[in-house]
Amino acid sequence: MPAKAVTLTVPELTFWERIYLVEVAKGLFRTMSHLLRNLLPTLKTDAYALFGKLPPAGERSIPTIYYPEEKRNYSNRFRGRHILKKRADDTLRCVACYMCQTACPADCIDIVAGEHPVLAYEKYPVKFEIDLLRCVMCGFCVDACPKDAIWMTRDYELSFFDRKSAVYGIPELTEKPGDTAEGGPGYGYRPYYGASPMRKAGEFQPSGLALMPFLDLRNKAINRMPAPAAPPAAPPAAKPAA
Amino acid sequence: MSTDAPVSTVSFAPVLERKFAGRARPEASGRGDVPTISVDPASLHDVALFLRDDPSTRFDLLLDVASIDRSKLPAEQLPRDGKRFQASYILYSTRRNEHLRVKAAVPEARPSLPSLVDVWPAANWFEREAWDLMGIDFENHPNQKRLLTHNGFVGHALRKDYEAGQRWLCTEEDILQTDLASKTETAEDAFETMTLNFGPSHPATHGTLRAVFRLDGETIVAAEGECGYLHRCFEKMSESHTYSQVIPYTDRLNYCSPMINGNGYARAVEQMLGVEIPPRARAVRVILSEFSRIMDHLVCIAANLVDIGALTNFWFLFQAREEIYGLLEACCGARLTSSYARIGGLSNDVPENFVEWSRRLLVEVKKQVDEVDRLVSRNGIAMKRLRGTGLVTKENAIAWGFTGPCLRASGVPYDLRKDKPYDGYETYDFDIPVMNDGDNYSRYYVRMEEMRQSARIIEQGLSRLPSGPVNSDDYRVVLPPKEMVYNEMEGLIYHFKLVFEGIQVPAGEIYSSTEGANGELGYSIVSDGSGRPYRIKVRPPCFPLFAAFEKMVVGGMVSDAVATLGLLNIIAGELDR
Amino acid sequence: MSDSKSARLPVAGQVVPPLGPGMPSTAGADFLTTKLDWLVQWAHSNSLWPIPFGTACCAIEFMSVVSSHYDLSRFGAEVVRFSPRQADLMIVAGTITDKQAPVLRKIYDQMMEPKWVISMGVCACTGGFYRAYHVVQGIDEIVPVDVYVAGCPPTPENLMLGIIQLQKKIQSGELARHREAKTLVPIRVGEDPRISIPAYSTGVMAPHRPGPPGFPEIPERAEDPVATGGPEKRR
Repeated sequence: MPAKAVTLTVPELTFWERIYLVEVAKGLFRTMSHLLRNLLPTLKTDAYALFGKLPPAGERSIPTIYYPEEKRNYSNRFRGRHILKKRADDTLRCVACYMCQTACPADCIDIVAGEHPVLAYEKYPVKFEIDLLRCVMCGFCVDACPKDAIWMTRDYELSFFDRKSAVYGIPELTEKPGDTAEGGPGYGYRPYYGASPMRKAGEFQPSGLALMPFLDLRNKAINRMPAPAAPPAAPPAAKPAA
Repeated sequence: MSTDAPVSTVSFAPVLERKFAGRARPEASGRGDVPTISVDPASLHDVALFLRDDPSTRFDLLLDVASIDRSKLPAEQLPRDGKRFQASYILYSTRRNEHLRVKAAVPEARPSLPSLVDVWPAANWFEREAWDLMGIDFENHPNQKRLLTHNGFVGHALRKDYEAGQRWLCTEEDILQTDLASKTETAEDAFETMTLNFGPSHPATHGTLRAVFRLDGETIVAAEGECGYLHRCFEKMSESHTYSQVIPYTDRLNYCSPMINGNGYARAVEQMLGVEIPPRARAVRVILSEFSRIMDHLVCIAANLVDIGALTNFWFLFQAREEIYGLLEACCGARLTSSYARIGGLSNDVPENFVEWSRRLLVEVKKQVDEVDRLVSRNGIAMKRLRGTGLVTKENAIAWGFTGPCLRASGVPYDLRKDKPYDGYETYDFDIPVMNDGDNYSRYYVRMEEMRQSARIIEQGLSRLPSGPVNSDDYRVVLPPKEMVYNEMEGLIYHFKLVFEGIQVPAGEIYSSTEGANGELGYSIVSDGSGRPYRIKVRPPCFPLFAAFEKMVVGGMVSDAVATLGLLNIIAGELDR
Repeated sequence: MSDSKSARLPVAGQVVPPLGPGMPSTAGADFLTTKLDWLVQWAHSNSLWPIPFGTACCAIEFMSVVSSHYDLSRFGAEVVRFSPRQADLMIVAGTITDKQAPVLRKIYDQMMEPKWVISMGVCACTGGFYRAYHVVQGIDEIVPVDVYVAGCPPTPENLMLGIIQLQKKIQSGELARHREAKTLVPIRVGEDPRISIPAYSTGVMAPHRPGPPGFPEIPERAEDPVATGGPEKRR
């Protein structure tokens, strides 16, 4: 047997352990000590509850979270309900590029694009629906967005009485002041800005290795941005040579 | 992404050539792949015996049978022999620490291979699965029936011409009939024994497993296991998604330790691509994998102790687990389905207080584990329930394809983290706990010790967590950082290509394995050079364990079967996929 | 067994049909029955005994809900029963496959009235991202669902919210009507010719996604009823 393995042996029971009665008492003592340790703070909680209050966090030793009065503090990466971000002039940042729809493994996003009256914005979503009962909250739509337009919040309170009401359209998804207000869910998962440190130090060179296959395809790729007038049978872009 | 010319790495090629001239040939295997031989179906059985018994081979552990339908491969990769199906047997030699893939191709007209159940008993369920999903017929198979899908199913779902959304009605009689249940009615011992249906909706089966026992009094004289109640078509789904989109699916394989699945999958694809991930990402993957392993063992032990009647420990252990969830959620944004690994790194850097938090957590977890250790490990009742039940000898464990804690509890110190180190495991100092009894108590005790060893690994990883990026900067694989996407045309193009077309994985094949919480978690991936996997076959650690369950419980009591099932730690998500 | 109609008791909160014009008022009797209904509904809503039909990841989160951090007993619902005869709230936690569907239906039928169903997690609600050959696309194909809890898996708080919402609905007396209106899709038992094959089994599903990677073509999508019919019609 190689030296890496450590062979364990079954612990031998002592005489006192075998006659069992002492062990029963010891085990009961152990669980009772847990009970007593929890009991006093619980009584205190109950006393507070009589007056309709929650005890301050420091005065509790039991881990129970008193939902819905009290909510667990999830991290600011939590993947909850989506929001659509807005520009400074209150229009949606989304340009209906279908990236999130393509990246979604659950196929739960449905977008219809329209031409935006403001020329600079070009396109906007006429319809942007997320079926929250299909969504698996993987965050791939946030990763895929090239316009910083879709984020997630920490809002996890999503239960519905029917399937129709779980389909969120633009009105429900648009960011509201309440999302980040005091007591609101706050932002959750958002695009990752992890810039490559090499790039920060000025060392990053768009390496020929990575870039070459694309250079000649660049124009083609840009021209093939999805647009309503795109020819239906556009040839797929050539694969980059490995 | 350098390209190495594929070479054959089969060590026993001369012996093979001498014995089976022309009928079994070594094949070139790609980068990171296991050595491969290709065998003529007619001599597959002989070659299998040779591989198992010859001193130069000694492949005693059958890990997986992966099948593939090659009919939709691009023209230049279509098989020259014109045979549509191919079965790949993944073997491992516990004595020589070597993997091997054995390929055998069969034509569409007569997709038939000799069954290898008499060579490796583990092949039984793997071959049934291949028959069920791919329609490869195994001659002389003792029990070739549908395994994952139901009896009302028509067609073979993983064939490329099968529509992914085609469902079939399953009625009650389609699932209720098993051989065991029907035999009692006719056999002369109808008055002596009774049939007991156990599951699929039974608290001790954890939801989705089913077993039918024939009982004499309370002793089990025959048993039959059935799975497939959670067959969610992971493999078919992955064929219609890009390589990145498969990551959320992998989380739901073993949902007690989703991090390990994602890391294993990402590593497999990285090996195909030849992408190196930064040291920080590697260390974080190791640390979080070990936390997941602890979590998995916590759930296994907690749930099993509930099954044998010790409810208190459930609350102690779940408290520890809930604390770990807090850390995982802070890293990846979800409590359970992490989707944290990305091909080429991680989705995000760890939070700033990661090291202190993890250290605090380790203290907390150890405290709860020790508490349970004091309550259970030397407890007379637990010993009587667990010792000597669910016995598996060393030879049987290998023959039935056990891996992971269950194999180590039978005395075989096989652990991929030591035997085939990956992600820098060779630089960590830890032990592999092994026990020789092979009973339920060993499986419990080995897991307890493994949690402590995992804690050791985490401590070492935390003390030397390197700084730096967590993602490779090859933007054909990893999404470019957002400021690049928003501001620069190159960044946007990379981003665009990655989202719409996926990562372009070079054509080839790989078997990449990771030490999952339950054993060897293997991914056999076949790429046709496009952005979507052509075929992914998962080697689920639970699958052979549950296949052996029906043999292990015979001769024991029903209540021991419950304890055995709990300590094999069958996770339906990865059992059925 | 599958005929749950005959086993159904009069459900609290049912609206008494008006007696018609010119008939004497029943205001006095209403008062008594309303108070009794309120009491029964109050008792129902605060003593939900759940049967967890846990199959997958969501079942693990359900374990969290009953363990000490979230403690379901604060809502009177901690008595987790594994026997359908003793439970009145079925929490379907996890993916339901076609193979599992008859089992789910059978257990639902074995539960006593009044009974409620919470569908926990997107797999149970709609099939989630498993648009596949072996996955039920929403358990409302098989059993009526009262509350859908989104998330994959939902956080424990979210499930608790679902339970709180269900309690409110039970107290308002609304749920009985909701269930009456729901058509139940039967599962065929034996060779009984009277029960038709449920719609869910026909395998009619929208194609999952186009095969070769490429760019979406907008004119085609707009004409395609499957794509524009909203997620409800996609199935």
